[in-house]
Amino acid sequence: MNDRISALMDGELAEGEAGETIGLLASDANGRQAWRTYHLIGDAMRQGRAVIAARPAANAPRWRMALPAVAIAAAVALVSWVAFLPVQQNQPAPAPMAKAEPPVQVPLPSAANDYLLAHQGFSPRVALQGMTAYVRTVSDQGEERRR
Amino acid sequence: VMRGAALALTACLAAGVAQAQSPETQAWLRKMYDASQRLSYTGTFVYQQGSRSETSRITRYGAGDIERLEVLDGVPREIVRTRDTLRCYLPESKVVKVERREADRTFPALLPEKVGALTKHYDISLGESRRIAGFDCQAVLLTPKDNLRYGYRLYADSASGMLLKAVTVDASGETIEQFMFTQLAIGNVTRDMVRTRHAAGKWRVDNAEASPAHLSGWGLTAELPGFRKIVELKRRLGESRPVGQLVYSDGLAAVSVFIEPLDARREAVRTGLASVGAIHIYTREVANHMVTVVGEAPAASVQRIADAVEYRETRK
Repeated sequence: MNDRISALMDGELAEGEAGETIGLLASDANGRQAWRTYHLIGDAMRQGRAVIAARPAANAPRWRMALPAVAIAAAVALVSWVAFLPVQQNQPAPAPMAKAEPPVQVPLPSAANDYLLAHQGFSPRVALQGMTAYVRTVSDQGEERRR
Repeated sequence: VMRGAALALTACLAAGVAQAQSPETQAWLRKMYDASQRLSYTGTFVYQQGSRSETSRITRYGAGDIERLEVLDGVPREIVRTRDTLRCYLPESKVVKVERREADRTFPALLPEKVGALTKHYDISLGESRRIAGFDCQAVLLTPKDNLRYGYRLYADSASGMLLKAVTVDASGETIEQFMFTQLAIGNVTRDMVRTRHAAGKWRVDNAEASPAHLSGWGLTAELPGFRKIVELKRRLGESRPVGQLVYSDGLAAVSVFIEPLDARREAVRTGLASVGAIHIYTREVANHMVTVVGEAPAASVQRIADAVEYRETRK
């Protein structure tokens, strides 16, 4: 894997192979770590610092001064992809819709449990969650209001 | 080279988008559904809503498809569900509430051929892995595409698919309510473990006597996007009140409309909204009837459905 990452950075992979390696990078945390490490090493070398000692093992990549276009594109793509995931999971909710006026809050109806019991059986979630969903039906709150 | 770069970029971005509705996420929903239909288990779970939490014990006997739920905090309550009947035991008032279940009330929305319909209103994606009650769980996220419904974070055991935790979240990502197992043992359940603890022979029986019916003249002026009518029936509520019930669902959330004649009631109708966790209840008067709308959807959605309820006199 590390050899392929190194080759990718050096622009030595064919288009198909490059795409495949990028795909692997996207799904492999170790690969991404190696990718970042190699870039740090590359940056340091380009700045003329001595980083020979920091090279990971004998199969370390052979650096060139300029990264080929495909490697840059791959880096951009990878960053976008990695950055995209958490954004997607915590997607901000759409803005609340315009409401005429807030509803009047009333206490639970005295027959709240009867309504909940009658309703719950038709909730698709019950089939997923089994009876746990029913606990709302018989929740203490409803029972207390009833007395 | 530039063309290759563009292709690589597109492929990577597409991979991120496609992940939302990939076969893998659908397979997880299917796995969770199968587990809920197949497994035997016994465990303790906590239901949490706002500052309140309540502990219950649940046991499922897979071979007979029987479940028993016992609330351990506060007023004792027990529910036993068999394939066709649900019995709710209230020992303090010595009442058994009986609901017949239709055989086919399961969760069709999670079957692979129906997930497509669900994805019209929810983005479905995989979330993080987390350990819950000793089980390594995978999160499945259902993010609504509009603000008419809640979002869900479901955590299922990676090995069996058993749902260990379910969180309902509102539009701002705040938790509305959650169910979470604190202890769970899969397997080794006998028939005896799901029998009621109560000798309820002399208790009052409230039988819902629900049966499919056409509620002539009643309907909605406008349906809520994605919510379609799935059931229409007549039933009894509590001791004896005859009620009509219409149920609307988007495949995941459901909203019931209860319609009862006003002359059968002694209390005055109080128009307004009440809430229990993710469930909202909106009551109003329509054509000399009390209309009560109950659903696990945002308050605005429940109110919209309530406001749309109408009665049209049918002429002969």
